[in-house]
Amino acid sequence: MHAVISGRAGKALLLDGDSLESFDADDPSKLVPRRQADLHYLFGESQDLRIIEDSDLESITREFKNDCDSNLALDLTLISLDGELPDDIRKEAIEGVDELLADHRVVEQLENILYARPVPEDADLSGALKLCDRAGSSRVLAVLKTFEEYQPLIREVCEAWDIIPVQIFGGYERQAEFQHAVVREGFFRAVVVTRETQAAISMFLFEAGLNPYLKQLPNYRQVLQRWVAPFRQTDQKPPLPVKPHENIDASLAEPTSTNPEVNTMHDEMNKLLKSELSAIETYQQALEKKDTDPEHVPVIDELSAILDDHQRAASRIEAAIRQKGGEPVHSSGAWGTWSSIVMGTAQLFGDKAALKVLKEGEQSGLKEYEDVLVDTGIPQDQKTLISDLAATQRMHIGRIFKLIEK
Amino acid sequence: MEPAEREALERRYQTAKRDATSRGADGPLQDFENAIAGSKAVIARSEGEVLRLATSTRQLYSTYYQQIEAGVRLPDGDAWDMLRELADTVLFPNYKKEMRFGALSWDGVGLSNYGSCSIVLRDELISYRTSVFEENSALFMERHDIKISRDPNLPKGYRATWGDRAKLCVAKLSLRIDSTTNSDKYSKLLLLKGATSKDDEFVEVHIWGPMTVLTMERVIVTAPQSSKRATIIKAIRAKLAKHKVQVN
Repeated sequence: MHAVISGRAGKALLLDGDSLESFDADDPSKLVPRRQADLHYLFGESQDLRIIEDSDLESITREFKNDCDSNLALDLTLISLDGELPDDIRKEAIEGVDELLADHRVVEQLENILYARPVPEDADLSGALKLCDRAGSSRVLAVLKTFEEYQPLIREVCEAWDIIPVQIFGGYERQAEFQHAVVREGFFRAVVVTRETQAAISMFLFEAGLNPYLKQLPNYRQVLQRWVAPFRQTDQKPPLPVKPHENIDASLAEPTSTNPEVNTMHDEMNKLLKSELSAIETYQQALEKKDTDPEHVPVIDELSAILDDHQRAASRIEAAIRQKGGEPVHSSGAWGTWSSIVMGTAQLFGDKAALKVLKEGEQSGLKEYEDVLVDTGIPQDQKTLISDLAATQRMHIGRIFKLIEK
Repeated sequence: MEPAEREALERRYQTAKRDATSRGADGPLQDFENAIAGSKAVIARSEGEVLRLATSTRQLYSTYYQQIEAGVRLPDGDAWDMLRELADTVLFPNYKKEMRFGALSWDGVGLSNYGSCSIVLRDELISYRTSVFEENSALFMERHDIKISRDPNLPKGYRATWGDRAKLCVAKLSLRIDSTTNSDKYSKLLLLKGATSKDDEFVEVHIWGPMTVLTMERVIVTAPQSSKRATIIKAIRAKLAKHKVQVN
């Protein structure tokens, strides 16, 4: 059975073979037979339609109820924030939301929407907080207080989203589609919380990279990388001071250099960056196949940590290229030995042969770093970075070796 | 509207009038026609949708409502084919997204099976962009075995401009009017709500273009509301009062 549901219209349409039926939020037990002719009346202009495929009535009803409750919670929250409305209506709205927020999924979905934009100027947040106090509505109070505290972060995360070039999405329509998916799946909220808790942004990227809805969208990796790029740069260690005798020629700092030596340097660094991006994609692909077998948890943890290192490395190389006036690449290009084998491996976590392939990938990455270290055309500050990254790469080889030995 | 369409409607209308005269129902039919000339376009929506319309000029609401708006893409596969092409494609090629569907109403109550709030629209803001159709257009296609396509062969005389809506109603409903018919019956003659939508009978209204708070004349709430939804209705009432739109 399939379904189209809309929390805003308060209608769910069931498709089962040739049969069409609908039910309302108020009475899910009453199934109303429908014809194709009824459909343009059923949902009106509601823009929140959601498709559910291959499900059963119980699950659809549960999802639908949740969508309806979340919509109701949003309506009532906005009423509570509306300073133009009389206090008694706002207080009543707060009491209504408080009941709905007993369901943690409703809290989450409400926050997914609220955290997607800074509070508009015409909202009366402080008035709503006072009314919450007066109504003794502790759940709404908690949600709105946190919302208030997070405003600087929400603004920062939204600004980072807004500056992603529209071409990366593939046009304005795709951008809107992507934004809707990101809001619905709670990624604005996730980035805000990641910033607040100072957790690694790479973990967010890892989680987002596994999301089935986002994965259907073109360029989803590039979009996510671009979105969090400002936060990754602030995560990284401050750049090392450059000693006077290590200063490179002033021409190297020109954004569009015609100096062949500078171009070679950028090419070498971009080669390392491509390798890191390829490693990230490989580990992400590998971790997508993770299962729930408790014996595999240590392997999953270890590989997640290595993925985290690769994401950090990519971010540092990107920053280093930019610092020297270069343009970092945004994709790994053709994948090398890294992913081709992992892609074809169904049971990575119980498969020592697959781990050996990962080890070989790390070893090949280490060799690339070591080759660049002996290259005389690379400035010393970049060599310091590469040396640091090569050390991390050696640690990866040791960690994977231990997993193979277990 | 094409001249051929107007002429076909005129023929149906004149036939209905002659028939009523022969039955001695010409007086009641004329009364009905005069009354229906003042009928209203009504759209039924949920209270959440009415709140969205009532608050669309406030940044607070529009900012967050935008976050939940998205187009839907139907998955591939036979199971979804019946949703893929609706009959409005036939009637309004290229205008599908801009078209809103309502019903003609005598008392201001619309097709409440589809939404607990009936929005009565202002004539002066919709008359130039509204037409009426004999019945649910998709059902009409089904009954007349008209294949959904971009260039359908539709029988003429079953649609009218907003100004000619009374003529269409006379052509459609004259046989139900006899010498005893009075204004108490107009409401159900024009729009009969069945137990299910299959039993609904109405004249379909097609409104092209946007619908905003300015388009609303009044809102009639037709279903009992839970306490939380009742709060939304109170907020709608307060919001619409500023635009002089009544909520009953």
